[in-house]
Amino acid sequence: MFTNTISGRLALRKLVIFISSVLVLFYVLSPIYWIIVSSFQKEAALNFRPPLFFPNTETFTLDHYSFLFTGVVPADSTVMLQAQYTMSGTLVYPSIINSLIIALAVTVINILVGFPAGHVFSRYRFLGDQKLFAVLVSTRLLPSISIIVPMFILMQKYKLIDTKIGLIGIYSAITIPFTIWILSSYFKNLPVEYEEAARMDGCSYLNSLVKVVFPIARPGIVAAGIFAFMTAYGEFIFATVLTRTLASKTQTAVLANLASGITVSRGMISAASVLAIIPPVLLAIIFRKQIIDGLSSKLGAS
Amino acid sequence: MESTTLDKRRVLKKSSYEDKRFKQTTAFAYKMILPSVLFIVVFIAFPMFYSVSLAFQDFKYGVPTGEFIGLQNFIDIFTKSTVAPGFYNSLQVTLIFTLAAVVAVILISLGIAFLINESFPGSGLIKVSLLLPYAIPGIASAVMWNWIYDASFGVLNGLLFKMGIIDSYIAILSDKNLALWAIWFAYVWKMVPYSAFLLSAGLSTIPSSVYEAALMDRSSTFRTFFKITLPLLLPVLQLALVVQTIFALLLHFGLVFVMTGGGPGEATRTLPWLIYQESFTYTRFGRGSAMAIILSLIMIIFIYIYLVLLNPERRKARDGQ
Repeated sequence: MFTNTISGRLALRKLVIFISSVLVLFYVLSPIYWIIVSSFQKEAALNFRPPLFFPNTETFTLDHYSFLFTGVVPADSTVMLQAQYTMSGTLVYPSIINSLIIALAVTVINILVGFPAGHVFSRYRFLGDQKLFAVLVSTRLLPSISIIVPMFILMQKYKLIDTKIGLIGIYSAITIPFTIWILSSYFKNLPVEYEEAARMDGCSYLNSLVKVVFPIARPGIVAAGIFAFMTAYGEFIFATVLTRTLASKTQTAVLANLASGITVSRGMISAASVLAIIPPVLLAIIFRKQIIDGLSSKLGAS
Repeated sequence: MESTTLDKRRVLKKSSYEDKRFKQTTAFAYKMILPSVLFIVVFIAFPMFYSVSLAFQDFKYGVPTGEFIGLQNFIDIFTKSTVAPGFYNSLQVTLIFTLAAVVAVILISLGIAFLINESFPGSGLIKVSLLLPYAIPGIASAVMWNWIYDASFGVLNGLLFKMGIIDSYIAILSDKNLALWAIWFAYVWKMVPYSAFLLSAGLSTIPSSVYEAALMDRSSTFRTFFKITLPLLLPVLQLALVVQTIFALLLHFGLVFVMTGGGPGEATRTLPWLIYQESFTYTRFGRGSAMAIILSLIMIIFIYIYLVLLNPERRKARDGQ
């Protein structure tokens, strides 16, 4: 048997790795491939049965994207399609901007608030420290659907329905526990000497955080910031219940409304989802190392 | 005699100094943590308590102050003929979905974890590709799969048709036997990468010397996996189970919203979707909150099972008694 020789075993190993790699890549990438291809196809071509599995130049179009940015309906579309286009498609681009603003604000709040808290938990022993830490972190496990009703009532009472501020507050509260968790475990692995030296030299606590801890803890802070950003950018339940107009509508709320309607231009909604996934996907590719480290650190992100 | 009192005084003095130091540190630490605590109290803890109080009220939207009705909401959910059957159905759908999703996610991600733990040309590409389903927001992925499953022009139908598996296009999401599994497949796709990275980190902590010893003993691959890999991976596996169960109970919500709206019939009406409908379609806030509390309790039971019953140390301690 060829598996009994060492070279045979190696060849088998290579074969298994190759086949499983191809399978994994197909499994992960094919749905994404399809949405990208669909977004560049003419509406008529999307109605082929069976569909065009590989795009060609004849059916290629940028109409869907140009509509999302400019609001100009493709000239060759039918009257019904035109109506669908103008109804909801113009909300997509502004809602992505809304989502970005909200997610960036949440990220900044997370770092401003979670950085000192995470640091204190990792460096000091104080009354009730472990209990407080456990309580704070366990709020992350709370199902968001269980506070959606009171949140709706409260937000209405304080006139925060359909405002970005309302969503920013909720998303910050949801993400801060995880930021504290990831940062405090990151700080525990950093040497304490630099901070001590800075404090000896008369640096105030907050000053030492900004000037000494921040630069050496940057990878951990980047990871925490990205997890907060992605959670805020992709959140759906609160967004759909608490928003009404473009003053606060996020891309998740707009996309869900577009897609759950029965008839909608499929090319346009494909283009809309491709646009919506670009910011987090770019972040994931640029900061892949920090994200993989964060996901691997037994902490539990998302 | 004198020396002991001196010692005592010194000890007292020292401890009171440390005491003071400790109090100062505590005050300082709480000052630093206060902003985080404020966010959580205002936006999570307070609404949570409010939600519990709502569950004991006959609260409908537009009726500003609900009447206190004790456990009536809970009694209705479990026994009233117009509510209970739907609730039990949702409970069943939720549990089937959760179980199937957790099993599939753990098995597939374990396989992928073994793969990305090897170093070979192209492993970097696989890792980056795996980040994509993780990074894509849930709703965008729901839109993506909705189009793939499309009954008239979907690529899945096209593919199955071309391969000769089906004779004519099928309405996957309107079929009460298929809809839940379509959602399940899309859900698993999005959740696998997260666990795969977690489990791969767990695998990489198992020292290679253990495997070399197994090889020396001519242990079969099968035996090595069950006798060495699995026990050493257990803590990480347990964490993956806890997290995936919590996710599976909730994060299918966007998929249900976009793809089926709980239908056809009640085939995909999971508990989160039922809560959403009760609260915002029928505006029965009291009953919706009561259901949400039941969902939270289910979650706590799952976590308890995983953490206490599956914990090897506790199990040993219990067996020892």
